[in-house]
Amino acid sequence: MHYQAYGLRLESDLPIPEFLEADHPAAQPDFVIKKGNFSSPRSSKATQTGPFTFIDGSILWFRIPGLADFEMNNGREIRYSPSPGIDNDTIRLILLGLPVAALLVARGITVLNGAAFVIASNTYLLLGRRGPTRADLVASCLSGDGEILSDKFIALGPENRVLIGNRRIEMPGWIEGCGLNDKIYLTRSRKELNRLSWVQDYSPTSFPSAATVAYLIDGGISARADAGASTLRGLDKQKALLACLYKYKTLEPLYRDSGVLQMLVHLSAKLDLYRIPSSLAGSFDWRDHIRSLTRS
Amino acid sequence: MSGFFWLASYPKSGNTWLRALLKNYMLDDDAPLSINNLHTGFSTGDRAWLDACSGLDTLDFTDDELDRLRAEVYSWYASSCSDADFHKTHEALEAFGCVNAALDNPAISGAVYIVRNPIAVASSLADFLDVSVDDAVDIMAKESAAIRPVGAYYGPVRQRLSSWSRHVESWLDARDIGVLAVRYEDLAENPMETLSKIVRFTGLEHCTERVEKAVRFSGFDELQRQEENAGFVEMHSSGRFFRRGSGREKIHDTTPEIADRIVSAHGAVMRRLGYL
Repeated sequence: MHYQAYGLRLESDLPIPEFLEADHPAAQPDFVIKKGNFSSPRSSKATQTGPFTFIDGSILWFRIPGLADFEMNNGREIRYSPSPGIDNDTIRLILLGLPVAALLVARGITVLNGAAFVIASNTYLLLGRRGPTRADLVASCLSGDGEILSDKFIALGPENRVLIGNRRIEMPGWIEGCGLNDKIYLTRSRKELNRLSWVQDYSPTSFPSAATVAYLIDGGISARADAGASTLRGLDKQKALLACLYKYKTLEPLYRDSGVLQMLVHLSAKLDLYRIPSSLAGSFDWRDHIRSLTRS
Repeated sequence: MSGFFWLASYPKSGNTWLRALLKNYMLDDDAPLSINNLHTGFSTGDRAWLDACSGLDTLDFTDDELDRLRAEVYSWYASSCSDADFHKTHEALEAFGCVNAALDNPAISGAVYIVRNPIAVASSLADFLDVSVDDAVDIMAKESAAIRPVGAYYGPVRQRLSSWSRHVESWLDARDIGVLAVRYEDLAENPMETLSKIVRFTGLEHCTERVEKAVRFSGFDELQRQEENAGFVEMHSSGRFFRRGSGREKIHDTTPEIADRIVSAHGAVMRRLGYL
């Protein structure tokens, strides 16, 4: 299958409905995603950089015991090796996080912690450091009619464009990661949060969902949550569907200029790279990168 | 020395106070440490730390999957600990019918478990959760109790509590991890002696003068003074975190009916700890 995403063409043997199908399937892909059968790392020279990450030169491995192994090779290839019994939904859930982000970084694309969503035809970016604010705020923003484009990361491409998965977006509005804005203000008392976090009768199925975004695909027959996998794996899918917060809609890609760079520079002190191992990001100064893009 | 240690407790049992004591001891400073800077390391409920350390989007995983993955994260982290490293946890070591693999981990050097009279815990917990003491007693009796976000999408990692009795026994009877059990009441009445035990257990160099200073810098008068002057980041939106030091008042104020309920549910473990 051929897709386009983050301004790139890709070929994948794993169906990824989050990406747009390619306009020109015959064109040479920029990177490929394919299944393999391997254990990470595959190099004896690899250095472990985190509990699940290994690196050797331009190859990064992401090993999640019991679920899958991923290998990102020089920004051109992602190989995945599912553990026995692990389905494609689970693989895709993980693949769309660090593996794709790492591949983008290897291609010189800045990947920032953030989310993108649409309310009343306006597209918003929510950027900021890791923590509880972002996902809660996105959910709060979308309590009415809205849709989430991405709840993991925002990519900043080499052409002064913000790349959100399969589309470039215009930027009529933005929200700081701190959650303070004229229109949107999220607050909960500490006691309320304490109470919300205590469960007298815990069981995995007793929770509606931890999902911040859910996609209904294939006419609602199958489902996937972008977060809160517990709702979908090994549990009641009807409950999962009921728990889905927002319906996925396909939007026409938007290719328009925006003033997003100025906003990013303004906010750079509050931004955070997506979960890229520092050894992969190396000495790359992404704030300087953002400033240089603005100057150019 | 000394490696990676859990500072474990059932909630509202003095964990924060223990952190203040240890941090003041380790810093050996000339002034009390700010209560808003009690960073003794990540706590096991800290999802943001887990995300940052592991590269995972932890919301993508089930609670049970995450427990297994956390074990690897803590092992990897512990392998890089050259100095004393203390991490708060409210999780039971064994709950829901199985050992908590994330905590009961060969890479961990040990645990200091602080336990408090459950009558005082019930009163504190009621205030913390803004529920009645009766409701707090119900929670403390539930084998299936857990801390886990329900209304918040990005909240703490699931922490299995179980009942107060099960929580305590899981730590006191730990087989694969060295545990020093400390009664909150002993820490309150004999802080020098008790803190000295903790210091020695965790392999920190013992110094009587430093113990004395840490106790003084972490006294409830000092903690309350700081909270009054500058607030406490871990505090509720209203009320005060450091309310009463000894817990005797809480026990004294508890109605006989409530006390009977607690003794009925937890009498065996209370007797084991000398509370009855």
